Amino acid sequence: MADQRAAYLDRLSDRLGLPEPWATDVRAEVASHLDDAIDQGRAAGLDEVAATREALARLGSPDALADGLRAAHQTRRRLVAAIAGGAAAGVGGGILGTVFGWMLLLALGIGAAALAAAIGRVTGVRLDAPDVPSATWEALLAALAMAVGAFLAGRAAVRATTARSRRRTRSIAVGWSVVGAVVLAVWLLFVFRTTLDGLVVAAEVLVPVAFVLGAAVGAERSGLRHGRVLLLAVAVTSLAGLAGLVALGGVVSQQLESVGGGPYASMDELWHAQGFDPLGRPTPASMQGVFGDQSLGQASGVATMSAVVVDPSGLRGWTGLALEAWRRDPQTMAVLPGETRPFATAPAHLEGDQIQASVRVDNVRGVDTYAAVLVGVGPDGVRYVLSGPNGLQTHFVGTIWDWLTAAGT
Amino acid sequence: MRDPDPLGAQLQKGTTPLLVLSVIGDGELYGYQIAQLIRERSDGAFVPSEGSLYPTLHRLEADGALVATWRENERGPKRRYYRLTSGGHRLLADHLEQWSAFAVSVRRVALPEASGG
Repeated sequence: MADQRAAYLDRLSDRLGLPEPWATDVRAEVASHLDDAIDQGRAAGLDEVAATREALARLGSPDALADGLRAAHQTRRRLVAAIAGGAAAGVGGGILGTVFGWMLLLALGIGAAALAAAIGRVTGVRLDAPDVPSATWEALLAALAMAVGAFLAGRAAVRATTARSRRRTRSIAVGWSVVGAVVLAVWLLFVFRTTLDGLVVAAEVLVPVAFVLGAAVGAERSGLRHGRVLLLAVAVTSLAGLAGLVALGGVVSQQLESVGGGPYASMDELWHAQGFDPLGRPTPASMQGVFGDQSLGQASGVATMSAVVVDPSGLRGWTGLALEAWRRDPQTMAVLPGETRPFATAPAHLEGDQIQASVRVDNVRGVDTYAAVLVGVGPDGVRYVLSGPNGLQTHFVGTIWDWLTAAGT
Repeated sequence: MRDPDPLGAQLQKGTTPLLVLSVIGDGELYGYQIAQLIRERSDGAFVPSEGSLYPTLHRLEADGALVATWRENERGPKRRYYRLTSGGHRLLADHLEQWSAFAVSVRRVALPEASGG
């Protein structure tokens, strides 16, 4: 009977656990076999009910047949090849997706800049530039581009693995979600070094989340639904990035205009009017002429100050010579209110006719701009600033783990 | 309860790939035809479980010994035809050689007089 035949095939399909198109192929092949067997039974004189019963009996239990067929398809060799293929597809998808993410964010930035300009022209309202260093912007955009890449990597890995392993997409998606999220999380937490602040860390957290989302999308069967979810995910990721930009108060082009060029004009003004007292007393007159050429530079997160000592006798009786880095207001150059200690300090050494010191300034959270000063305690026991303050910019650079365990706010 | 024919069942299970590959040979057959041919050639001695025939076919296909092609059928539904690959021919030769050696050894042990031993 047709009902028995259909029930057998339905049970077989339910138990089979193969993705498409193999599930449909297997069902069609067994259906064809049953039709042949039933035809033969009827040709031998059986009625349809008896012929169907006979044909089903010869095939045996649908569960056993499904188990045997699944085992035949889902071999270990296929699984290993599928995992390798899925990993390769994931890496490829991740690279292409990251490039695509950059292009997408670039397009969004240009669009946002054009929109901001148009709004400004029509309404006269200017969107202020965000108070975020360019290095942070770059790290933020890189993290968002990587999130797009991770999404497409997860999707590609699941689809490639499913096609090769012939295992159900859901189990493949779960496996890749766990593996991908753990690998990406470990890489971001302990290996990937970049400029970090709270916003960038939050964006980097999106990367493994996007991979899991991509894996879930890769598990969708329906092409139409798949496409919609993909578009939705790309849109959500993009809007999240755009919202981040807007939340910071401006657009990329405006930010770039604001980068560079310190607003301060006079050291005396800074010293007296904007409160450099925490640094020490201004350089005493007795030290005039002690130092010749001075230089302050920063490379790879290390600030180095050096000065030619023209009159070594001028340093007699001085102690505690050190290079210090203090948090400062990025706009006014003033030491931040409430700061009573430098966030980084290192002793200065006299070598030949030069005094020099180096201090690391990229491993404390929440420091974007700082004032570097060479300080010392004079023969009178008073602390003086011997050189500086000089304003510089820095950014926390490291892994997320470094950021989480670092000092600072 | 004991299986009334445990040896026969085990032999048939172990030789199903050999029977399948042998029946297909240089031709191109679909599953139902393969089962029928095995039954006919063995005069009904081998009645392969049709439930084990398809897993065997699919495993041989996964191993590269068979390739399958869907073909339209004039009188009925589409059917999946199997044919041997070059690897399938080599596998068939290997199986035949192993089976021959096995049969000779079993005969020498179980029927020493008949085998002249």
